[in-house]
Amino acid sequence: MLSTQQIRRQIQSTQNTSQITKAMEMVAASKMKKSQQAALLARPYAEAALNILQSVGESVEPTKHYLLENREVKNLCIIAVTSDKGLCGGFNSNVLREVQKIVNLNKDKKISIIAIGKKAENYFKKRNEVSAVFNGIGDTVELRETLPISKLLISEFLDKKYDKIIAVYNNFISTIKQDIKVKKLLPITRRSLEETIEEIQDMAKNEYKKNNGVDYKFEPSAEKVLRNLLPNLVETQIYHVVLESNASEHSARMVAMKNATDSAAEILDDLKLLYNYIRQQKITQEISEISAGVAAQE
Amino acid sequence: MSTHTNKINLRVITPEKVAYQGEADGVTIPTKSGEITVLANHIPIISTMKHGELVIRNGKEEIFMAVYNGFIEVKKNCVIVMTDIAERISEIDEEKAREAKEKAKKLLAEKDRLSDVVFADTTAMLEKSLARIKVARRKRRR
Repeated sequence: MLSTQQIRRQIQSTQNTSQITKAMEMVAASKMKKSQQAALLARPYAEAALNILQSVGESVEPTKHYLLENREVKNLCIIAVTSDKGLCGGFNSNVLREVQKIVNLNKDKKISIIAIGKKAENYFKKRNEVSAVFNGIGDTVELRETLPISKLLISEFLDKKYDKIIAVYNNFISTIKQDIKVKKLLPITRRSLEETIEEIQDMAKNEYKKNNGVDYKFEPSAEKVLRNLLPNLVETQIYHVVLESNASEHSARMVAMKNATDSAAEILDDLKLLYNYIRQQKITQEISEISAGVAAQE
Repeated sequence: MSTHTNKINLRVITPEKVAYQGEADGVTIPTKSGEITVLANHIPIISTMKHGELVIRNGKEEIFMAVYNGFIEVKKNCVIVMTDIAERISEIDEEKAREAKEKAKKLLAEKDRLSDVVFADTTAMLEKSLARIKVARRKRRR
Protein backbone atom coordinates (compact mmCIF):
# COMPACT_ATOMS: atom_id res chain seq x y z
CA MET A 1 0.00 0.00 0.00
CA LEU A 2 1.20 3.48 -0.83
CA SER A 3 1.62 5.99 1.93
CA THR A 4 -0.52 9.12 1.98
CA GLN A 5 2.58 11.18 1.51
CA GLN A 6 3.50 9.39 -1.71
CA ILE A 7 0.01 9.87 -3.08
CA ARG A 8 0.03 13.51 -2.14
CA ARG A 9 3.23 13.91 -4.11
CA GLN A 10 1.67 12.18 -7.10
CA ILE A 11 -1.39 14.41 -6.93
CA GLN A 12 0.82 17.48 -6.82
CA SER A 13 2.86 16.47 -9.85
CA THR A 14 -0.22 15.51 -11.87
CA GLN A 15 -1.72 18.87 -11.05
CA ASN A 16 1.41 20.65 -12.21
CA THR A 17 1.43 18.70 -15.46
CA SER A 18 -2.19 19.45 -16.16
CA GLN A 19 -1.56 23.13 -15.56
CA ILE A 20 1.19 23.06 -18.16
CA THR A 21 -0.87 21.15 -20.71
CA LYS A 22 -3.78 23.50 -20.12
CA ALA A 23 -1.54 26.50 -20.81
CA MET A 24 -0.14 24.85 -23.92
CA GLU A 25 -3.64 24.13 -25.10
CA MET A 26 -4.57 27.79 -24.82
CA VAL A 27 -1.43 28.92 -26.61
CA ALA A 28 -2.05 26.42 -29.39
CA ALA A 29 -5.67 27.53 -29.66
CA SER A 30 -4.76 31.15 -30.25
CA LYS A 31 -2.00 30.23 -32.72
CA MET A 32 -4.42 27.90 -34.43
CA LYS A 33 -6.88 30.70 -35.03
CA LYS A 34 -4.20 32.86 -36.59
CA SER A 35 -2.78 30.13 -38.77
CA GLN A 36 -6.21 28.98 -39.91
CA GLN A 37 -7.00 32.51 -40.91
CA ALA A 38 -3.71 32.86 -42.77
CA ALA A 39 -4.48 29.67 -44.66
CA LEU A 40 -7.88 31.01 -45.61
CA LEU A 41 -6.56 34.42 -46.67
CA ALA A 42 -4.02 32.81 -48.98
CA ARG A 43 -6.63 30.93 -50.95
CA PRO A 44 -7.96 33.73 -53.22
CA TYR A 45 -4.47 34.31 -54.62
CA ALA A 46 -3.90 30.65 -55.41
CA GLU A 47 -7.32 30.55 -56.99
CA ALA A 48 -6.67 33.61 -59.14
CA ALA A 49 -3.26 32.28 -60.21
CA LEU A 50 -4.73 28.97 -61.31
CA ASN A 51 -7.52 30.80 -63.06
CA ILE A 52 -5.12 32.85 -65.15
CA LEU A 53 -3.00 29.81 -65.85
CA GLN A 54 -6.01 28.02 -67.23
CA SER A 55 -6.87 30.92 -69.47
CA VAL A 56 -3.30 30.95 -70.74
CA GLY A 57 -3.32 27.18 -71.12
CA GLU A 58 -6.31 27.40 -73.41
CA SER A 59 -4.60 29.91 -75.64
CA VAL A 60 -1.08 28.48 -75.88
CA GLU A 61 0.14 24.94 -76.12
CA PRO A 62 1.81 24.74 -72.72
CA THR A 63 4.58 22.34 -73.62
CA LYS A 64 7.51 24.59 -74.18
CA HIS A 65 8.40 25.53 -70.68
CA TYR A 66 11.04 23.95 -68.49
CA LEU A 67 8.76 23.63 -65.48
CA LEU A 68 6.33 21.57 -67.53
CA GLU A 69 8.93 19.13 -68.77
CA ASN A 70 8.00 15.54 -68.06
CA ARG A 71 11.19 13.49 -67.77
CA GLU A 72 11.78 9.89 -66.89
CA VAL A 73 11.98 9.89 -63.10
CA LYS A 74 15.44 8.87 -61.95
CA ASN A 75 15.85 11.39 -59.19
CA LEU A 76 12.95 11.83 -56.87
CA CYS A 77 12.79 14.61 -54.35
CA ILE A 78 10.51 14.38 -51.36
CA ILE A 79 9.72 17.40 -49.22
CA ALA A 80 8.75 16.33 -45.72
CA VAL A 81 6.85 19.09 -43.97
CA THR A 82 6.91 18.72 -40.19
CA SER A 83 7.11 21.02 -37.20
CA ASP A 84 10.06 22.17 -35.11
CA LYS A 85 8.39 21.24 -31.86
CA GLY A 86 6.77 18.05 -30.70
CA LEU A 87 3.82 17.35 -28.42
CA CYS A 88 1.28 17.43 -31.17
CA GLY A 89 -0.02 13.89 -31.34
CA GLY A 90 0.52 11.98 -34.55
CA PHE A 91 1.18 15.10 -36.58
CA ASN A 92 4.86 14.47 -37.29
CA SER A 93 4.98 10.70 -37.15
CA ASN A 94 2.23 10.45 -39.76
CA VAL A 95 4.26 12.50 -42.22
CA LEU A 96 7.45 10.57 -41.49
CA ARG A 97 5.70 7.23 -41.90
CA GLU A 98 4.24 8.26 -45.25
CA VAL A 99 7.60 9.49 -46.51
CA GLN A 100 9.26 6.26 -45.40
CA LYS A 101 6.62 4.32 -47.30
CA ILE A 102 7.31 6.27 -50.49
CA VAL A 103 11.05 5.77 -50.00
CA ASN A 104 10.55 2.02 -49.68
CA LEU A 105 8.41 1.89 -52.81
CA ASN A 106 10.96 3.78 -54.91
CA LYS A 107 14.12 1.87 -54.13
CA ASP A 108 15.14 1.90 -57.80
CA LYS A 109 15.38 5.69 -57.88
CA LYS A 110 17.77 8.08 -56.30
CA ILE A 111 15.90 9.81 -53.54
CA SER A 112 16.71 13.14 -51.95
CA ILE A 113 14.81 14.48 -49.03
CA ILE A 114 14.21 18.11 -48.18
CA ALA A 115 13.29 18.46 -44.56
CA ILE A 116 11.12 21.30 -43.35
CA GLY A 117 11.07 21.38 -39.55
CA LYS A 118 13.43 19.87 -37.02
CA LYS A 119 11.44 16.67 -36.61
CA ALA A 120 11.96 15.63 -40.22
CA GLU A 121 15.58 16.69 -40.09
CA ASN A 122 16.34 14.54 -37.04
CA TYR A 123 14.54 11.54 -38.46
CA PHE A 124 16.06 11.51 -41.91
CA LYS A 125 19.56 12.52 -40.95
CA LYS A 126 20.01 9.05 -39.50
CA ARG A 127 18.51 7.18 -42.40
CA ASN A 128 18.65 8.82 -45.80
CA GLU A 129 20.31 11.55 -47.66
CA VAL A 130 18.96 14.90 -46.59
CA SER A 131 19.82 17.43 -49.26
CA ALA A 132 18.42 20.52 -47.61
CA VAL A 133 16.93 21.56 -44.31
CA PHE A 134 14.65 24.50 -43.60
CA ASN A 135 14.02 25.16 -39.95
CA GLY A 136 12.54 27.94 -37.94
CA ILE A 137 9.63 28.75 -40.16
CA GLY A 138 7.59 30.73 -37.73
CA ASP A 139 4.09 30.27 -36.47
CA THR A 140 2.93 32.99 -38.79
CA VAL A 141 4.49 32.27 -42.15
CA GLU A 142 5.13 34.97 -44.65
CA LEU A 143 5.66 34.36 -48.30
CA ARG A 144 9.25 35.57 -48.18
CA GLU A 145 10.08 32.83 -45.67
CA THR A 146 9.15 30.12 -48.13
CA LEU A 147 10.75 31.78 -51.17
CA PRO A 148 14.19 30.20 -50.58
CA ILE A 149 12.55 26.79 -50.71
CA SER A 150 10.83 27.42 -54.02
CA LYS A 151 13.96 29.00 -55.47
CA LEU A 152 15.97 25.93 -54.58
CA LEU A 153 13.36 23.61 -56.08
CA ILE A 154 13.12 25.51 -59.34
CA SER A 155 16.88 25.71 -59.83
CA GLU A 156 17.45 22.05 -58.96
CA PHE A 157 14.69 20.99 -61.29
CA LEU A 158 16.22 23.11 -64.02
CA ASP A 159 19.64 21.52 -63.43
CA LYS A 160 17.99 18.10 -63.74
CA LYS A 161 19.09 17.13 -60.27
CA TYR A 162 15.50 16.27 -59.55
CA ASP A 163 13.09 14.90 -62.14
CA LYS A 164 10.06 14.96 -59.91
CA ILE A 165 9.30 16.80 -56.71
CA ILE A 166 6.57 15.86 -54.30
CA ALA A 167 5.57 17.24 -50.92
CA VAL A 168 4.20 15.24 -48.00
CA TYR A 169 2.31 17.29 -45.46
CA ASN A 170 -0.72 17.53 -43.20
CA ASN A 171 -3.66 19.00 -45.01
CA PHE A 172 -5.90 21.05 -42.79
CA ILE A 173 -9.53 19.99 -42.95
CA SER A 174 -10.89 20.98 -39.58
CA THR A 175 -9.65 21.44 -36.05
CA ILE A 176 -10.08 17.77 -35.27
CA LYS A 177 -9.27 16.39 -38.69
CA GLN A 178 -6.06 16.60 -40.68
CA ASP A 179 -5.15 14.36 -43.56
CA ILE A 180 -1.77 13.32 -44.83
CA LYS A 181 -1.44 14.55 -48.33
CA VAL A 182 1.08 13.81 -51.08
CA LYS A 183 1.20 16.64 -53.57
CA LYS A 184 3.16 16.70 -56.79
CA LEU A 185 4.83 20.07 -57.23
CA LEU A 186 7.04 19.65 -60.27
CA PRO A 187 6.78 19.12 -63.15
CA ILE A 188 3.50 21.01 -63.39
CA THR A 189 0.97 18.99 -65.30
CA ARG A 190 -2.56 19.69 -66.34
CA ARG A 191 -3.74 16.88 -64.08
CA SER A 192 -2.01 18.10 -60.95
CA LEU A 193 -3.37 21.57 -61.60
CA GLU A 194 -6.89 20.36 -62.00
CA GLU A 195 -6.56 18.50 -58.72
CA THR A 196 -5.36 21.64 -56.96
CA ILE A 197 -8.20 23.65 -58.41
CA GLU A 198 -10.70 21.08 -57.22
CA GLU A 199 -9.20 21.13 -53.75
CA ILE A 200 -9.33 24.87 -53.40
CA GLN A 201 -12.78 24.94 -54.82
CA ASP A 202 -13.89 22.31 -52.33
CA MET A 203 -12.42 24.16 -49.42
CA ALA A 204 -13.47 27.66 -50.30
CA LYS A 205 -16.88 26.47 -51.50
CA ASN A 206 -16.48 28.91 -54.30
CA GLU A 207 -17.87 28.54 -57.71
CA TYR A 208 -15.04 28.09 -60.11
CA LYS A 209 -15.85 29.65 -63.41
CA LYS A 210 -14.27 28.34 -66.54
CA ASN A 211 -13.30 31.01 -68.99
CA ASN A 212 -15.18 29.58 -71.86
CA GLY A 213 -15.20 31.71 -74.93
CA VAL A 214 -13.41 34.71 -73.50
CA ASP A 215 -10.86 35.82 -76.02
CA TYR A 216 -8.03 37.42 -74.10
CA LYS A 217 -5.45 39.79 -75.38
CA PHE A 218 -2.07 38.94 -73.88
CA GLU A 219 0.58 41.48 -73.05
CA PRO A 220 3.41 41.20 -73.95
CA SER A 221 2.57 37.67 -75.22
CA ALA A 222 0.95 34.51 -73.96
CA GLU A 223 4.31 32.74 -73.76
CA LYS A 224 5.79 35.53 -71.66
CA VAL A 225 2.84 35.55 -69.32
CA LEU A 226 3.26 31.80 -68.92
CA ARG A 227 6.97 32.11 -68.26
CA ASN A 228 6.31 34.61 -65.49
CA LEU A 229 3.35 32.79 -64.08
CA LEU A 230 4.76 29.29 -63.62
CA PRO A 231 7.55 30.08 -61.12
CA ASN A 232 5.01 32.20 -59.31
CA LEU A 233 2.70 29.22 -59.12
CA VAL A 234 5.39 27.01 -57.62
CA GLU A 235 6.06 29.66 -54.99
CA THR A 236 2.38 29.94 -54.18
CA GLN A 237 2.01 26.19 -53.88
CA ILE A 238 4.91 25.83 -51.47
CA TYR A 239 3.56 28.69 -49.41
CA HIS A 240 0.19 27.04 -49.43
CA VAL A 241 1.64 23.70 -48.30
CA VAL A 242 3.47 25.32 -45.39
CA LEU A 243 0.37 27.27 -44.36
CA GLU A 244 -1.79 24.17 -44.38
CA SER A 245 0.80 22.30 -42.39
CA ASN A 246 1.02 25.11 -39.86
CA ALA A 247 -2.72 25.27 -39.35
CA SER A 248 -2.73 21.49 -38.92
CA GLU A 249 0.15 21.58 -36.46
CA HIS A 250 -1.52 23.98 -34.09
CA SER A 251 -4.84 22.20 -34.35
CA ALA A 252 -3.19 18.85 -33.67
CA ARG A 253 -1.29 20.26 -30.72
CA MET A 254 -4.40 21.84 -29.27
CA VAL A 255 -6.31 18.57 -29.48
CA ALA A 256 -3.38 16.59 -28.05
CA MET A 257 -3.03 18.99 -25.16
CA LYS A 258 -6.75 18.95 -24.50
CA ASN A 259 -6.64 15.16 -24.30
CA ALA A 260 -3.69 15.34 -21.95
CA THR A 261 -5.49 17.81 -19.69
CA ASP A 262 -8.59 15.63 -19.69
CA SER A 263 -6.73 12.50 -18.76
CA ALA A 264 -4.81 14.37 -16.08
CA ALA A 265 -8.17 15.32 -14.56
CA GLU A 266 -9.20 11.67 -14.65
CA ILE A 267 -6.00 10.53 -12.97
CA LEU A 268 -6.41 13.24 -10.36
CA ASP A 269 -9.91 12.01 -9.53
CA ASP A 270 -8.64 8.45 -9.08
CA LEU A 271 -5.72 9.56 -6.97
CA LYS A 272 -7.86 11.71 -4.72
CA LEU A 273 -10.26 8.85 -4.18
CA LEU A 274 -7.40 6.56 -3.28
CA TYR A 275 -5.91 9.18 -0.99
CA ASN A 276 -9.15 9.66 0.94
CA TYR A 277 -9.66 5.94 1.15
CA ILE A 278 -6.26 5.43 2.71
CA ARG A 279 -6.70 8.40 5.03
CA GLN A 280 -10.04 7.11 6.26
CA GLN A 281 -8.62 3.64 6.73
CA LYS A 282 -5.84 5.10 8.81
CA ILE A 283 -8.27 7.08 10.99
CA THR A 284 -10.47 4.05 11.47
CA GLN A 285 -7.45 2.03 12.44
CA GLU A 286 -6.29 4.65 14.94
CA ILE A 287 -9.75 4.93 16.50
CA SER A 288 -10.01 1.20 16.86
CA GLU A 289 -6.56 1.08 18.41
CA ILE A 290 -7.47 3.79 20.93
CA SER A 291 -10.79 2.21 21.82
CA ALA A 292 -9.06 -1.16 22.11
CA GLY A 293 -6.57 0.45 24.53
CA VAL A 294 -9.39 2.00 26.56
CA ALA A 295 -11.24 -1.31 26.62
CA ALA A 296 -8.11 -3.08 27.89
CA GLN A 297 -7.71 -0.63 30.78
CA GLU A 298 -11.26 -1.09 32.01
CA MET B 1 -21.33 47.25 -75.83
CA SER B 2 -23.25 47.13 -72.61
CA THR B 3 -23.59 50.53 -71.03
CA HIS B 4 -25.62 49.66 -67.99
CA THR B 5 -22.62 50.04 -65.75
CA ASN B 6 -19.66 52.37 -65.67
CA LYS B 7 -18.01 50.70 -62.74
CA ILE B 8 -15.52 47.89 -62.63
CA ASN B 9 -15.43 45.18 -60.05
CA LEU B 10 -11.89 45.21 -58.71
CA ARG B 11 -9.95 42.79 -56.56
CA VAL B 12 -6.33 43.33 -55.55
CA ILE B 13 -4.91 40.09 -54.20
CA THR B 14 -1.52 39.29 -52.69
CA PRO B 15 -0.41 35.85 -51.54
CA GLU B 16 -1.10 36.92 -47.98
CA LYS B 17 -4.39 38.75 -48.20
CA VAL B 18 -7.00 40.49 -50.29
CA ALA B 19 -5.85 44.11 -50.28
CA TYR B 20 -8.84 45.66 -52.03
CA GLN B 21 -12.20 44.35 -53.02
CA GLY B 22 -15.10 46.32 -54.39
CA GLU B 23 -16.32 48.66 -57.09
CA ALA B 24 -14.18 51.32 -58.70
CA ASP B 25 -14.41 53.76 -61.58
CA GLY B 26 -10.99 52.86 -62.87
CA VAL B 27 -7.60 51.56 -61.99
CA THR B 28 -4.16 52.52 -63.25
CA ILE B 29 -1.67 49.68 -63.34
CA PRO B 30 2.06 49.62 -64.08
CA THR B 31 2.52 46.79 -66.60
CA LYS B 32 5.71 45.57 -68.22
CA SER B 33 4.69 47.20 -71.47
CA GLY B 34 3.78 50.53 -69.91
CA GLU B 35 1.20 52.01 -67.60
CA ILE B 36 -2.40 51.24 -68.46
CA THR B 37 -5.69 52.49 -67.09
CA VAL B 38 -8.59 50.10 -67.03
CA LEU B 39 -12.08 51.59 -67.14
CA ALA B 40 -15.43 49.91 -67.53
CA ASN B 41 -15.99 47.87 -70.70
CA HIS B 42 -12.32 47.24 -71.28
CA ILE B 43 -11.41 44.40 -73.64
CA PRO B 44 -10.39 41.11 -71.97
CA ILE B 45 -6.68 41.21 -71.29
CA ILE B 46 -4.06 39.33 -69.34
CA SER B 47 -0.86 41.19 -68.67
CA THR B 48 2.23 41.12 -66.48
CA MET B 49 3.00 43.84 -63.98
CA LYS B 50 6.20 45.43 -62.81
CA HIS B 51 6.97 47.45 -59.69
CA GLY B 52 5.32 50.83 -59.28
CA GLU B 53 2.22 52.61 -58.21
CA LEU B 54 -1.32 51.32 -58.49
CA VAL B 55 -4.06 53.93 -58.42
CA ILE B 56 -7.65 53.02 -57.70
CA ARG B 57 -10.23 55.71 -58.48
CA ASN B 58 -13.70 55.54 -57.06
CA GLY B 59 -15.78 58.71 -57.18
CA LYS B 60 -13.67 61.39 -55.57
CA GLU B 61 -11.61 58.90 -53.67
CA GLU B 62 -8.18 57.87 -54.84
CA ILE B 63 -6.26 55.00 -53.30
CA PHE B 64 -2.56 54.61 -53.96
CA MET B 65 -0.74 51.34 -53.49
CA ALA B 66 2.85 50.27 -53.91
CA VAL B 67 2.92 47.07 -55.93
CA TYR B 68 5.62 44.70 -57.07
CA ASN B 69 5.32 42.27 -59.98
CA GLY B 70 2.32 40.13 -60.69
CA PHE B 71 -0.47 39.80 -63.20
CA ILE B 72 -3.75 41.38 -64.12
CA GLU B 73 -6.77 39.76 -65.62
CA VAL B 74 -9.57 41.86 -67.09
CA LYS B 75 -12.80 40.22 -68.10
CA LYS B 76 -16.32 41.61 -68.36
CA ASN B 77 -15.74 44.57 -66.02
CA CYS B 78 -14.12 42.20 -63.58
CA VAL B 79 -10.53 43.13 -62.84
CA ILE B 80 -8.21 40.93 -60.83
CA VAL B 81 -4.80 42.25 -59.85
CA MET B 82 -2.43 39.65 -58.44
CA THR B 83 0.74 41.07 -57.03
CA ASP B 84 3.51 40.18 -54.58
CA ILE B 85 2.96 43.22 -52.40
CA ALA B 86 0.16 45.80 -52.21
CA GLU B 87 0.74 48.43 -49.58
CA ARG B 88 -1.30 51.55 -48.99
CA ILE B 89 0.28 54.85 -48.02
CA SER B 90 -0.51 54.30 -44.36
CA GLU B 91 1.31 50.98 -44.39
CA ILE B 92 4.53 52.34 -45.83
CA ASP B 93 7.49 53.38 -43.75
CA GLU B 94 9.23 55.86 -46.02
CA GLU B 95 12.32 56.05 -43.87
CA LYS B 96 12.82 52.33 -44.07
CA ALA B 97 12.18 52.28 -47.80
CA ARG B 98 14.87 54.92 -48.31
CA GLU B 99 17.35 52.98 -46.25
CA ALA B 100 16.58 49.82 -48.21
CA LYS B 101 17.03 51.71 -51.45
CA GLU B 102 20.45 53.06 -50.44
CA LYS B 103 21.57 49.67 -49.23
CA ALA B 104 20.44 47.97 -52.43
CA LYS B 105 22.12 50.60 -54.57
CA LYS B 106 25.38 50.19 -52.71
CA LEU B 107 25.28 46.43 -53.17
CA LEU B 108 24.41 46.68 -56.83
CA ALA B 109 27.34 49.06 -57.44
CA GLU B 110 29.67 46.08 -57.07
CA LYS B 111 27.52 43.64 -58.97
CA ASP B 112 30.45 41.74 -60.44
CA ARG B 113 31.04 40.19 -57.07
CA LEU B 114 27.44 39.21 -56.44
CA SER B 115 26.05 35.79 -57.21
CA ASP B 116 23.00 35.60 -59.46
CA VAL B 117 20.69 34.88 -56.57
CA VAL B 118 21.92 37.79 -54.46
CA PHE B 119 21.77 40.04 -57.49
CA ALA B 120 18.14 39.10 -58.14
CA ASP B 121 17.25 39.55 -54.47
CA THR B 122 18.90 42.94 -54.30
CA THR B 123 17.23 44.11 -57.49
CA ALA B 124 13.89 43.04 -56.05
CA MET B 125 14.63 44.94 -52.87
CA LEU B 126 15.55 48.05 -54.83
CA GLU B 127 12.44 47.88 -56.99
CA LYS B 128 10.16 47.34 -54.01
CA SER B 129 11.63 50.30 -52.16
CA LEU B 130 11.35 52.48 -55.27
CA ALA B 131 7.66 51.62 -55.54
CA ARG B 132 7.15 52.39 -51.84
CA ILE B 133 8.96 55.72 -52.06
CA LYS B 134 6.93 56.72 -55.08
CA VAL B 135 3.66 56.09 -53.26
CA ALA B 136 4.88 57.62 -50.00
CA ARG B 137 5.64 60.88 -51.82
CA ARG B 138 1.91 61.32 -52.42
CA LYS B 139 1.43 61.90 -48.74
CA ARG B 140 3.56 65.02 -48.74
CA ARG B 141 2.05 66.50 -51.84
CA ARG B 142 -1.36 66.68 -50.28
